[in-house]
Amino acid sequence: MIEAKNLWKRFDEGDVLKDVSFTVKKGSIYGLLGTNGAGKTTLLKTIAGVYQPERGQVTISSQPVFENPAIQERFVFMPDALYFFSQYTIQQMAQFYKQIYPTWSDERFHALHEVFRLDPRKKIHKLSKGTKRQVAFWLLLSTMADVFILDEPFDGLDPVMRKKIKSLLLHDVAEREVTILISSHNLREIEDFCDHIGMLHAGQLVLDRELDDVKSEIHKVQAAFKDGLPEDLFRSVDLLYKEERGSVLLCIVRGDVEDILIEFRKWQPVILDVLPLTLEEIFIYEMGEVGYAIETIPLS
Amino acid sequence: MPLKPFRYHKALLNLNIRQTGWLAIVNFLVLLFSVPLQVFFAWEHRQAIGHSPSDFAHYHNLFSEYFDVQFVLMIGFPVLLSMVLFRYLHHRTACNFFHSLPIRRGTLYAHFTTIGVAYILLPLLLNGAILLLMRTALSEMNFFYRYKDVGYWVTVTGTFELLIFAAGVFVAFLSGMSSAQAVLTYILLLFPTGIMDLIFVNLRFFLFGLLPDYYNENTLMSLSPLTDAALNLAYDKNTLQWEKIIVYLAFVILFLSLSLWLYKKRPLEAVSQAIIFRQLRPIFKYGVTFCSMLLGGAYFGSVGNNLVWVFIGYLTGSLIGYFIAEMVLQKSWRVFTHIKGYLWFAAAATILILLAQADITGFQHRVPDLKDIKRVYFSSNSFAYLQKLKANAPFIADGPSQYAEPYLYESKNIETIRELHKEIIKNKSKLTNKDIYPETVFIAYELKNGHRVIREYHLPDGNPYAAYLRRIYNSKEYKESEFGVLNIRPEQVAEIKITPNDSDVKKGLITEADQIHDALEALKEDIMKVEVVPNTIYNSDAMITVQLKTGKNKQFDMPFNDNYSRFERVLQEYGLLDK
Repeated sequence: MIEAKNLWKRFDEGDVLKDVSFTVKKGSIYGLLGTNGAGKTTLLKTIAGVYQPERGQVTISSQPVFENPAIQERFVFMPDALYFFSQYTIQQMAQFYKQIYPTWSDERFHALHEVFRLDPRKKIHKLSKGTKRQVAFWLLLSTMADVFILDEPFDGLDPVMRKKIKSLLLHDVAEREVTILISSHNLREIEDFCDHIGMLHAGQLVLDRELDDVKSEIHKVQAAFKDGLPEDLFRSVDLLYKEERGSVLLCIVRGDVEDILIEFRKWQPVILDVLPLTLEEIFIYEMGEVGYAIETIPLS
Repeated sequence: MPLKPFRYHKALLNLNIRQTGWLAIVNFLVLLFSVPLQVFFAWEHRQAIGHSPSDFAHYHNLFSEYFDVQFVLMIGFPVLLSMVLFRYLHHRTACNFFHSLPIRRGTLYAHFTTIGVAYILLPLLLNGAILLLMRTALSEMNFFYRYKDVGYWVTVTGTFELLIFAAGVFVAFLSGMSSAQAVLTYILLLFPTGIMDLIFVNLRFFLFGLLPDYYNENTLMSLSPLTDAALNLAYDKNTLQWEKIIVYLAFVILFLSLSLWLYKKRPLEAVSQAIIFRQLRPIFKYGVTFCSMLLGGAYFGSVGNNLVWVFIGYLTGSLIGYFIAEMVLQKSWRVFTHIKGYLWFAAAATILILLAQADITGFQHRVPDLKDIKRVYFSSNSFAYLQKLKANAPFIADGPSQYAEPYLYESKNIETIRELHKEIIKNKSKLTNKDIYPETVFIAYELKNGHRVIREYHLPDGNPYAAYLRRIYNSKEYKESEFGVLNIRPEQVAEIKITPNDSDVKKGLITEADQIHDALEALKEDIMKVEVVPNTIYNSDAMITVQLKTGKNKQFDMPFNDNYSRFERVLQEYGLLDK
């Protein structure tokens, strides 16, 4: 559905995107993670056709996006900093979207009134930050577009509204096969939401996988051995991280879970557990691999 | 590049009218209050108190009413309009929003520009229609303006506003900040006049005899639409001939096409940079440095009177300009370590100054050959000559020629001028400190091939120059052209008036024909006889005014020279002099 091929984007300060390629399948939710300043927003703007890449191309349904209204009217980009026309009411803004997006649905707009419960005659600039975000989702969902590109979309929403909106988005994915590209720094936020993740670091995509694959590839293993730590164990497994808590060894290991367990069992552990890994932990260990490690912070 | 047709978007039109429609209303109201309503109330006033045709002498055209307000609107409104309409380019979230919409850049541009043109033209045409209606409906409105004045007013105002708007739009696409856009637009519009003016003023320091005013008065002021409008519109009936209107409209099309081209190249992420395009930043930086170097030189040169001061001016001006430009580009105060670029500039500027001083064209030593010269204008003052060169000089456009026209044709006199000129050139090194010397000579050679050689020099008292000046000033030809009285016949004269400078003494007035005859003959004889001594302040107690019969203002004024003995005797005979 969305395909980015060898994107390079250069700002005054240097390259912000370096040869980024990835694909988002129709009907899937792609979560874009990244360190601060990694280029997430730049990547999303480039995909949305706001920026023109120096090299490479973005296509949606095999059509180039940049300066191509026929494709652009099939997706909506929600930037991290929202923009509404000054003095416009929700109703007037909806009217504008209706005139711009051919797939706009008035029924959808009215139906969603039940969810958002905002007065459409209210001027948007007088609303609070979170409420503006709700208005943006209300408009977004009413466009009935095929693709949503969302940059940090849940910022400022309360947990209830966040849940409601997520389920609305998931509903669209299930019912209409909507494709969503979403960026977030809050990993818990999108852990239960995405089916595919990409990790951007210093302008490069360092990970691009199905979330399930990622989770089945990296494991947290807790083990204890009678005769202390068997150093040779670590030569036979792909160790990402280890930590000793008393006699208990806690380590992050990459590889097939069965293979790992076989390796561990060779040393006759007293305790051996495989624990689920959160997306946050995956993020931290993957970033550690590319030199973005958590240093031991010398606080007193 | 294939041209894709722009698609019409009702949404964008609605948006614009809702958000920026007030600008059109303001434009309409200001025009309404400053032109049609002004004329109407002037008309109503005249209806009440009566009028004579001479009351309308100052109505050259519709710009004569409230021109200051019209002028401010004309140069202010289009820039404001371009800032408001293209604000979305300079505001990051708006910029993201508009460019993520399924609308091509060209289409956005076409909508916003068309709206701008409409906001300029519709209020103007509406006011034009009101003026036409008033002219038809109200009797005696014809004293105030003709139908074709309305056409002229609409065309000229529209052309100027479109030009300034188009320049504003063009700069909007070069810049990433609205404030920089406003400043740079005015700089762009003033640039042609400003830079030429600065260059000529500075060349004067290196080219002995150069008269910057000649270039300014003549051509420079009409190079910039702002100075052109400010200086000419209200005073002159036809500042804008259709040729100029076509040139201005061509620039409108040029600016608007360039803007569209720039839009497609514009890196949107550079919002909030003063200059968006990286390639243009050095041009901006060194352009500002160069201009402020010239400005510094002009300032220090005019107050300091010495080449050393000029160079101090260059150094100060260029340093200030360089760091200001650097601050604008870096958006920071801490630029004082970025000195490398300045050193390159200084090297280039030094070469340029050396070139200017080298006088490659031989400007300073040029004295035209006698056989090439048609006539020479020779005077101690360039003002009248320069005014005459301006086709629409406001100051002498409708008055009589109060200024003498000292043109010399005789080869003997021209030869004297050439000798003086050569003498001056020979003494160049002694004469370059201009303000120390009291005597100014202005020489304008008009050549047979239509070219002009214009020079101005400042000379000290005494020989060798005084001898030449005496020969020129006392030649019959010079006196005849300098003193207009010599060319009139007694029967043309209505009266001769003597106005003492001391107001207690009574005025003398000659009105009878035979007295006029005698006095005029005596005056002419005195003028021819009395020697003109260069740079002498005559001990003159009174002014002589010779008033002609035809024309209200046709008169000649001259100081009553003490040596006019025959004229004085005639006055005494008639008992007009109480000395």
